[in-house]
Amino acid sequence: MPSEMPSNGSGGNRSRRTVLKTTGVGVGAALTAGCMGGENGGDDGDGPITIGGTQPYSGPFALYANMHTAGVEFAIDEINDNGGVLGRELELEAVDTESNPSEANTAATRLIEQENAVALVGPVSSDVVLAVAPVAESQEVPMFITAGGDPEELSQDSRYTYRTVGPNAITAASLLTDLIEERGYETVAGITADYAWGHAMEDAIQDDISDDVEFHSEVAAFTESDFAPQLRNLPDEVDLLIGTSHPPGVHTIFQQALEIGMEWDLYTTATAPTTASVDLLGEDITQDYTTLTIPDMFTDQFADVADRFYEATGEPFDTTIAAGYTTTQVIAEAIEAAGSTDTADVSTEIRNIQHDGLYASPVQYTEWGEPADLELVLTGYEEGDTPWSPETDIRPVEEYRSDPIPAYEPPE
Amino acid sequence: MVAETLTRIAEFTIDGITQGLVLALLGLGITIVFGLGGVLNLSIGVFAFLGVIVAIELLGITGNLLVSTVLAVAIVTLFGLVVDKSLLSLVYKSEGEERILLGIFVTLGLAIFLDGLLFIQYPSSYSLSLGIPSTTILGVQIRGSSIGIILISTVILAVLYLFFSRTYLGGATRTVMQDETGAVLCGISPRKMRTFVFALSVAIAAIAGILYSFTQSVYAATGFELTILALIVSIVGGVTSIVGAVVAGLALGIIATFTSAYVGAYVAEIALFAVAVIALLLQPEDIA
Amino acid sequence: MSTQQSSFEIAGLNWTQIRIPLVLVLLAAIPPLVFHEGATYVSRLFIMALIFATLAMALNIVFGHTDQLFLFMGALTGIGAYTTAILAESLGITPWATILLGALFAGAIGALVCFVSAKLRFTVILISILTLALQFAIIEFFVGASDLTGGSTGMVFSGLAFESIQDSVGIHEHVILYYLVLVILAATFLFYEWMLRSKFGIAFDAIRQDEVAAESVGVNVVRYKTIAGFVSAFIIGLIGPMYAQLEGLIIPGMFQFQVVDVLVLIILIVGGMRTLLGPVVGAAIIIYINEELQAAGQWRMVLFGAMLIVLFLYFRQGIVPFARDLLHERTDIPERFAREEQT
Repeated sequence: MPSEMPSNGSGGNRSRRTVLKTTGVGVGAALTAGCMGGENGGDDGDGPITIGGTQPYSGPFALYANMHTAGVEFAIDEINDNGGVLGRELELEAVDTESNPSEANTAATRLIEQENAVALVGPVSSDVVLAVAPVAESQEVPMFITAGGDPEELSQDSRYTYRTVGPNAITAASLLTDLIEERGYETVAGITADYAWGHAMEDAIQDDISDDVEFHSEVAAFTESDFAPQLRNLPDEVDLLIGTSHPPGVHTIFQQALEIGMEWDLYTTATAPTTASVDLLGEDITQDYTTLTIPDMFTDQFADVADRFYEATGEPFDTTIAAGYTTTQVIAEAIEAAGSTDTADVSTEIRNIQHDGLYASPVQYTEWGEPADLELVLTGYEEGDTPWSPETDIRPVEEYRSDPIPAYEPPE
Repeated sequence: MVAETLTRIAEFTIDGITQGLVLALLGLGITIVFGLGGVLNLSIGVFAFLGVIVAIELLGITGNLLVSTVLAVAIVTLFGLVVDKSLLSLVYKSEGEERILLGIFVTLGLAIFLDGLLFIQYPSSYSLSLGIPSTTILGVQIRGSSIGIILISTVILAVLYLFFSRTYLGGATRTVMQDETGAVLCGISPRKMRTFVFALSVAIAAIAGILYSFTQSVYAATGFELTILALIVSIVGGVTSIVGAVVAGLALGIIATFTSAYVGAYVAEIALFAVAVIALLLQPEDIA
Repeated sequence: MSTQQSSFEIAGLNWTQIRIPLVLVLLAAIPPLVFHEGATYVSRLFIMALIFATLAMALNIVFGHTDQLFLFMGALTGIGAYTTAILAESLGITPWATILLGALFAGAIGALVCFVSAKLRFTVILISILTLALQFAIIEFFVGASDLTGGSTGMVFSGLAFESIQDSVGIHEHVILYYLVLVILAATFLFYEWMLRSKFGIAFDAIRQDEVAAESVGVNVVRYKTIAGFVSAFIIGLIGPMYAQLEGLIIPGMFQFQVVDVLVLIILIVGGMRTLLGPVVGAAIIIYINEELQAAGQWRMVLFGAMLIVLFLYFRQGIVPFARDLLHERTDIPERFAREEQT
């Protein structure tokens, strides 16, 4: 189906970030600031409180960055309209990491040291997360992973790294194995991406699945774009087709599986932005396509925020936007609770939080930053009046909801 | 069992030919520009992605796939002309090896510049649907998009073949590719020919991009991946050989599909580059 | 251009003789003046600039002087880093003991590629495509061979720190790393100077001007090109573990074409090919501009691309040659006046 994607999620007043600063005085000022820069994490006590965004505005995850930013900025606007945090305004200072781990490390260091960021948001994909997490840990500034599901991103010693909208591969796999058991699926097939997330998930499913279930898995390169060879090697008819273990390929796998005439009861994906999937796949999405989401799109609270967002920006609200929105709310709550912008205190408060918002279960963290007792939702799609943009006539439906999943405990 | 294996092989072969024809078009886009002007166009993949984006935007307005894609190719070609008249004119001012290097760097800069813009405006994934249903012949399942792509690209390649072999303009193009000085003596202006061929290559790229989006979703970063594939096809085909590019495209498409099906995973990706490296090492000496 | 001697003098000293010590002293003075606890962002950028300056020096030798365009510098950097780390871990020894092996391995690959290309008489275009194909294949290997490399999430690397010195003297690890990279850069400087004055310099010039002619007067083109490839790849492989030490990690994403090669190429061209100081000047300027563009948020890539086009079209002679010509013009004026008056 043809799809049209208007400049998605460009909500709010991001334009103020996109104005090029006058250069020239730059380096001197930057260096001086660097030399004089006081202790990390704190700030001077007045002026806005800065949240640092290390976001991949270019590269394969640009869409995540755009939508996530829209959510963060919308939350910031709402918080500021309600008097801000500790009587001060919040602001987002966002940087393009280009999905380059080294650049992301530089950006995170700068945001912490020079902009006195109270928290960092936005890294996508495990390699970037692994490059930024040590900065957050050593500088003691809380950092929220937008998406990146390698279980090993967090260790027992992590105290400043938090997972948000993307569950780790093992947690996501446990939703799938529960689903298989509960529905009595007998034939299960999956495409596994040849990297950490894919293998972690494949192993977890392999370990937990009952012996009676026929499980076929085909490994495809991370950068693969033609899955027809792998799909043709799978059975023509399956109960469950898992795209979740190949996040970059979820849309193409679905399209090509339809085209080669595969049949399934349910197709599952990773946490791709829901509105983007609707735009891209069009009506095809109603053929048992589901998105794995942490936000719960079926509550009144979600609908309220979605309405306000649509009014403010004219754009549809979405699970990825909801993640940016929620993370910002959590940060603001933690700063209020800490009573200061001291980043170590804020991080402690984040671990004490129980934030009942747009997610299927309250946001709460283990000591090492995994979401505790997480509930996951498989969101399906059907034709009907849409809560999104008036241009489509497709709406989300709840396909499956997991029980609270115990947090994954990293090895010592 | 044997029948099943044969069916599978037939399916993979058709998949591979489909992919190979798109690769052949992209490789051709590199080859004719390099052969004629000495510019290795590293922005070719961006033009391919641009073709998809413009077609999708137009589809939203016209609602007709054929009209939208034809118009999209025309618009992207026009943009290619602007690039030729502005950036490439500056590149052609230099000669020999300097021109080759400058061509690489300027088109690389252009690719980064355009990718940057596209990431801002079109950060999502996009695809087009040809609307041809898949069919099964003698137990062999053939994708609708394969049928469309094979038909369309065969027609385009045939037209290009006739153009280069039968028309005056095509003959003139080949003359300049082979002997620039001789062409000038015959009253052919190399610069005008280069403009024409660059526009032609951009049109081919836009078509290839649109065909590609019939089989899978594409996004801004796909542009660079397509450029790399196009380069490999062109090199394996001998850089300045039109027929070579087509043969190389088909061969690589089929190899990619079979390694992907039977070897799988990252080895399949490496295999493609390995073929390119081997082809390079086995090249006859007369290329480039 | 490389052999052109400058008559420019400072306080009676010939510029060509004092420029290396002068530049090294200036670079060595940076940490005490600029590095500061709590300003790791700044020190990180300076180390990054040195790392990329050294990479650009390596490209300067192989591309600038023997016309062999390496587009797999990212892969070679990775090979140096992975080899060092994997050998150290499997042998249970410190990476200090394996760092040379990593560099030698990278060097051997560089030599092999250049040997084969020279044997087959590859043009600059063909060798650039060959190395580009290798770059992508090697990165796929880093990602795919996860049993060996740790796959897309790689491995943690911190084996090149001097913890005892850090603790006893109380200096930041960045200071040590900075001087380590500076030592490599200094060695590269000295080697470069020596090389150009030796028979290599003459041979390289001959090869660059006309390979066939060079061969006919007895220059062993294949040998010299192979040596140039080895030296450059060795330097690149040596820098790999330093880059990994700075990041604390070895992951495929660090070594991608878009991350390493594009940047090094720009640095060399902007700084000035076939010059001693071009790579350092280029690295300083490009790393600085790249950081300044952060203020542009998502427009950064657009501006970077536009900048590249302009730089390549109008400033490809490079900043260092440009400045040298400017200085020459100025120092020439009195001479020209004198000449004018005589006639």
